[in-house]
Amino acid sequence: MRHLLLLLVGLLLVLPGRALALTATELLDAVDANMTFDTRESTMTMTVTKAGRVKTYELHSYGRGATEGAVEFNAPARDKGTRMLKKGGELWMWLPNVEKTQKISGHMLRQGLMGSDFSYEDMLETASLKERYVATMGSEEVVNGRKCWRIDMTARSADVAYPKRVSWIDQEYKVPVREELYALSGMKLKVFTFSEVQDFDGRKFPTLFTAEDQLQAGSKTELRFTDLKFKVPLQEEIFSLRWLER
Amino acid sequence: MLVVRLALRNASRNVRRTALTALTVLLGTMLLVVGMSWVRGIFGQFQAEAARSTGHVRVTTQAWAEREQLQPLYENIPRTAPLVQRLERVEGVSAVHPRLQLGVLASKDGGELGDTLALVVGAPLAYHRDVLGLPERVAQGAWFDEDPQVAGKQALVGRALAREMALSPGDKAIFLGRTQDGSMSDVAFTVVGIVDTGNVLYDKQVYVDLERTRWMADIPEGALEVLVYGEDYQAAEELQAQVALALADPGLAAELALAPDARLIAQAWSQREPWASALKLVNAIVGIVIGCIVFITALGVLNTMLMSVLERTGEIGVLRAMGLGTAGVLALFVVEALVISTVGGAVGASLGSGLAIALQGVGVDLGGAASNLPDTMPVNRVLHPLWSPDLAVSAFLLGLVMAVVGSSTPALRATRIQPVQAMRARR
Repeated sequence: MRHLLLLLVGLLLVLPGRALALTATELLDAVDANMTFDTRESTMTMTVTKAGRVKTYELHSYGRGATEGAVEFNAPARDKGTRMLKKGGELWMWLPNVEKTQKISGHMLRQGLMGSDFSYEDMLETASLKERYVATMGSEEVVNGRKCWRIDMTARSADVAYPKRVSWIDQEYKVPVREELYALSGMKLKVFTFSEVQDFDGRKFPTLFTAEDQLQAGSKTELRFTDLKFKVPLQEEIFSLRWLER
Repeated sequence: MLVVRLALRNASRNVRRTALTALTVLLGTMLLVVGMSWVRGIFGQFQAEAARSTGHVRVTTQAWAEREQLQPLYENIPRTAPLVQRLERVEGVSAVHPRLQLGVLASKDGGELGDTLALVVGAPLAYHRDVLGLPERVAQGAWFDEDPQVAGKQALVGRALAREMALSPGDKAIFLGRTQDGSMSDVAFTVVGIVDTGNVLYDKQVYVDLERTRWMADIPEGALEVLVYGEDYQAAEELQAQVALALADPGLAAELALAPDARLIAQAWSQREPWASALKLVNAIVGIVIGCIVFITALGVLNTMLMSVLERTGEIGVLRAMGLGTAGVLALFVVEALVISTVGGAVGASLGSGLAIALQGVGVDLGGAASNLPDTMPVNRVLHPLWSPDLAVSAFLLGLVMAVVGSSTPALRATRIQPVQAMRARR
């Protein structure tokens, strides 16, 4: 009888927890639901701080699904007119001074976008986390004042830019609060933080991204969405080389 | 005098052994002349090229010099014209050139940007002409146009890079670099000529007018380096002291629009890495090589002289009994070795000089192996030894040193021979 009682008490204690707890896959699904999109149009300011020098860019971007994106720089004057187009796994760039469209590849993809801590490769990687990584659930931690779940991710294939990724997911909003990106060797390459979460018709989305390149001391980039719309109709032309060269 | 006469006679007593000793010294001396002329030729070429391409003395900001490998463009000298004017007035200075080198991604018009890296050397055309001597190295195409507007959009491309990018004169090349703030900076050049400099490093570079790289880096009046030239690159450290004095003027920083915490430094080529370390290393290697040759040759001399001592034990005993002192016995063998080495050394130095002079004219082509050398070393594709009379004289004198060192142990052994023991040995 005593054993039966103990078993009942045990079940009462364990079962609700099991029922409420998310698996890592479910959590990634929830994060992907917030962070990926069908279409998106946004205006952003990107502030790059390097060795105490600060430079701010204004840019306008369009996105359609995980494979198509377009960015145009509007300020400062020297960079105005620089446009980039991501199509499939390829990145194209309009060089305003040369007045040419160039395909960007290889070494260039690992360079910082306009000297920022976000690489061109970071721009290209907008596929869902679930598609790119196998995740395991970690502990509950408080990060930047938010209760989070930690998940440890390992890339599914060798062509993913960061083979290891650790994310702290906001328990309330199901968006990342902090991400640490690692090389295969275990060296920490970058730290991303996400904040100022806003609601967009039920979708939670952080409107301030920061990136810190761990290999460059004192280097930091803030990407702030000043205007952000999801599910907007976008012209087909935007995602073509013609748009780059217009 | 008797000792000298005896030594001369002894030298001719066993012709085979004397010839063997002379041959040992001959080979050692010859090896020294050839080896040292190669070291002087190869490393001298490195030094001369390093001093030529990067200035006998280079003026930069200290912050840039400390992180040169990372190319922090923002650590530049914002205004170089006043600095150039001042340095031109320094005693012993023959030329001053500002230079702004940029690492870029390069592409032929229509190609992809991403995997071809190049170094664009932006400097006044006088630097490319007078210092690098590029007009004589144009293998295809032509030198820059006389119109500065046109020349500003032209580029000379090194042979290796032109081959990698499949560029020919008249082609358009696109370069994607960075401004000092890290923004992207794209520029197109018309390839006016392909230069074959015969140097591994220079053949991988692009040569353009300074103004164009100033625009690319968004440093409108400045540069990263100001290169100072004197009459002799070997006297660069004296020139550096003069240049450093000129930089000490407290009003200069404001004139050059330097940041409050920025500091200018002047460094002679021999004080900069990798040359500072390389100089020490080469001197050490040269010392070790000379030491090894001297040691091996001395060992050969020791061997044959020891045989002489053993053969002449009885004779030495008689001489000792007749009153020849320790110094006399010592001198007998050392002088004999010196006589043989004088002949061997003279022939060896002459043969070595002949070989070095012949190789100096022909050189050794590194061929494909040159492309595997590090991009930072200005190594010529064809390497030449550099012979000079002082090398032959030094090798000859070292030959005599080998003789003294090699013969000293047998000679000392001979001094310890007692007449009675020698008589008993009957030799």
